[in-house]
Amino acid sequence: MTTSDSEKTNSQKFLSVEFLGEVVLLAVVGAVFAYMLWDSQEWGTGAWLLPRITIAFGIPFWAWRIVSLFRTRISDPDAQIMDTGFLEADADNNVVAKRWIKLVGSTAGLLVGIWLFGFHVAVPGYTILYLMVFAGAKWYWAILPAIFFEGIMIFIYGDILMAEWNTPLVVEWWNAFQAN
Amino acid sequence: MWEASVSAAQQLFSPGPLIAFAIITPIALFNGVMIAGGVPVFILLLSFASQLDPFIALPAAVFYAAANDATEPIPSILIGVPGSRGSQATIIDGYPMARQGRAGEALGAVYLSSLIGGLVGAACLMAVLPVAREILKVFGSAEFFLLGLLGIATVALLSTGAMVKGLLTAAFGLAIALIGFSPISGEVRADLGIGYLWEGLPLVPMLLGLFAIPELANLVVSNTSIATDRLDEVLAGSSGDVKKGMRAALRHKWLIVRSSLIGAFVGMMPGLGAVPAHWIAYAQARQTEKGASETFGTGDIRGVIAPEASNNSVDGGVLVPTLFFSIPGSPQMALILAMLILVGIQPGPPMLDQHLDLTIALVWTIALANIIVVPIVLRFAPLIARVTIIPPNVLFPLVMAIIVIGVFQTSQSLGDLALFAIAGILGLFMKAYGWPRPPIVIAIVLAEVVEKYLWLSVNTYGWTMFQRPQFIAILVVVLIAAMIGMRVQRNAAKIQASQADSGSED
Repeated sequence: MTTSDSEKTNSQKFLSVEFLGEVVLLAVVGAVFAYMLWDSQEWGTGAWLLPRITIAFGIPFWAWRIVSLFRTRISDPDAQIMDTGFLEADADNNVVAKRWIKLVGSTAGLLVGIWLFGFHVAVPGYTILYLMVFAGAKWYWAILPAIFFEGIMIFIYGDILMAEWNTPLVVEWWNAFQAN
Repeated sequence: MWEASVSAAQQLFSPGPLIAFAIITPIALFNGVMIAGGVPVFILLLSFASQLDPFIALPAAVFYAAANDATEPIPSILIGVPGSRGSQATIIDGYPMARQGRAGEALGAVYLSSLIGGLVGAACLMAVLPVAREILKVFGSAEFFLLGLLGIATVALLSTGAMVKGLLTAAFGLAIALIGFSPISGEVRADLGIGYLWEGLPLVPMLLGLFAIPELANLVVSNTSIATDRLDEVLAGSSGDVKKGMRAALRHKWLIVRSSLIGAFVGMMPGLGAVPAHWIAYAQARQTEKGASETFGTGDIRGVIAPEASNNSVDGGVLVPTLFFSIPGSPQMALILAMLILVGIQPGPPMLDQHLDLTIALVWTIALANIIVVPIVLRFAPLIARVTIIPPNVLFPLVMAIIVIGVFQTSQSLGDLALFAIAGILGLFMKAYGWPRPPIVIAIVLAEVVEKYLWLSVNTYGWTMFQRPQFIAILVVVLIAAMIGMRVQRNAAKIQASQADSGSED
C-alpha cells in the first residue's frame, strides 16, 4: 500500500459512519461515567460505593474500546451500518434514506402530536395518516385500527384500569387564553 | 412441596390466569412467526405487569414465551425464514421437506417433539427445585450480592463475539441504573437537576426504547417482505401427513429425549438460551444418528426433531438460574426477572420458600402452554404463516401505537415518552454497532438488589466476605459455567458457520 493509499484509508475511516457512530456511543458512555464520578463527590459512602466500583470496572473496557477503535481498520466501507437494514435491503441508498426519514419523522410526529393534542387525537390520527400515506390503505381500512386503539384507550385503560392521560398542550393554552 | 403443587394448580386454573392465557395465546402465536416480533410484545407485557396479580402476570409471561417458541418453526419450515434465532437449525432440513411437499409431515414431527421437549424441560425444572432449595439455605448477603453482580457480568461475558463491548455495556447499564434516590442513604444521585430522574430510570420505557425501536426500524428500513406466491405453493402441502410426521417422531423417541436433555442443560447455563442449545442438539443428532451425515440437509426428519425438542426444553432449563439465582438464562428471561421485580417479588430464596406455589405454577404453565398450543398450531399453521406476509408499512404504525400507549401508562408521565425516544436512539446505535443490549436490561433490573446486598455485606462481613467458602464456591462455579457457556457458544457458532458454508455450496 502506498502512503497516499494509507492516508486515504485513514481519512476514509475517520469520516466513516462506522467510526463516527461508535465514537458517539463511547462519548455518551464516557460522559455518564465522568458526570457520575464528579457528582459523587457530594454523596455519602452508602450512595457512592457501588457507582464508583461500577465506574472503576467500566473505565478499562471503555479505554480498551477506544484504543481498538482507533487501531483497527474499517472492515468494509460499504457495510457501514451493520444490522439496522442499511444497505442490506435490495433498495439503493436514496430509498433507504427515505425510509429512515419516514421512520424518524412519523415517530417524532406521533410523540409531538401526543404532547400537543393528547393520546385521543394523536394515536388514531397517526394510525390513519400512516396507513393512508405510507401503506396506501383506503380510508375505510385505515379507520378500523384507529377505532380499535380509541376503544382500547377509552374502555380498557379508561374504564377498567382507571388510567389517566396527559392534558394536551393546546388545551392548556386554551385554558390560559380563557383565563386571561 | 405437595401442598404447594396443589395450591399452584388451584390458583393457575382459576379464571384470572385462564383468561390471560386465552388472550395471550393468539398474540403469542402470531408474534412467534413475525421476524423479531416476539420481544417488543413481551416487553409490552411488562407495562401491564405491575397492575396485575403476580399469579396472573408471571404465568402469562411464561405462557407467552412458551407459546411463542411453539410457532417459531412455522416460518422456518414453510418459508425458509427463521421466526427467531432459536429456529435457524430447523430450516436446514425443514425447508427442503416443505419443498418436497412434506411440510405437513415436518410440522407433525416438530410439534410432537416440541411437546415432549417442553414437558421434559418442565420436569427438569421440577427436579432441580429441592436441590436449589438446599443450596440457597447456606447463602448470606455477600453471596446474593455476588450472584447479582455475576448475573450482570455473565450475560455481558456471553455476548456473542463482543465480550469487551458486553462488559462495558454492563458497567454503563449499572451506572445509569444507579441514577436517582440511593436506597441506602436516600440521597439523589446524578439527576442533572431533572425531577423526573429522582425515582431512577423506569424500566418499561427503557426496555421498549432499547429493544422495540431498533426492531421496528429494521422492519421499516429493510422493508422485509415474503413472496406470497411461494407461500401459497408450500401451504398447499402443509395440512396432509401430519400423523405420519408424528409417528416418525415417536420412532425417534430417544433422539427427542436426548435433545430435550441437552436443551434443558444448556438452558441452565447462565446467559445462553435457545440458540446454542438447538444448534448443539442438531449437531449431536448429525453425529450420532445412523446415516445422518449423508442425509442431513436434504430433508431428513431427524434434522427437525432434534433442534425443536431442544428449543422447547430450554424454557424449563432457563428458569432455574433466573428464578433461583437472579442470573437470567437468556435475554427473554431477563424480562421475566424484570417482571418478578415489577410485581414485587424478589428472585432467589423467596421463590423456593414463600412463593414456592408460584414457582411450581410456572412449571405447570410451561407444560400447559405446550399441551394447549401444539394442537392449535397444528390446526392453524397455514393461517398463522400468513402473518408473515403483512407488509411492514401496515405492521409498523399498529405496533408503534400500542407501544406508545403502553410506555405512557407505565407512570402516566410525558417524561416516559421522552425517555423512550432517547433509549430508542441509544438502542439504534447499540444495535448498529454490535453493542449487546441485554446487559443493560439486567443491570437496570438487578441494580437495587446488588446495591442493597453490597452495603449489607460490607457492614456485616467487611473484607472477610471474600474469604467465605460459599462466596468462593459461587465464584468458581459461575466462572466454570461461564467458561463452559463460552465454549458451548463457540461450538454452536462453528456448527452454524459450517452449516451455512455447506448450504452456500449447495
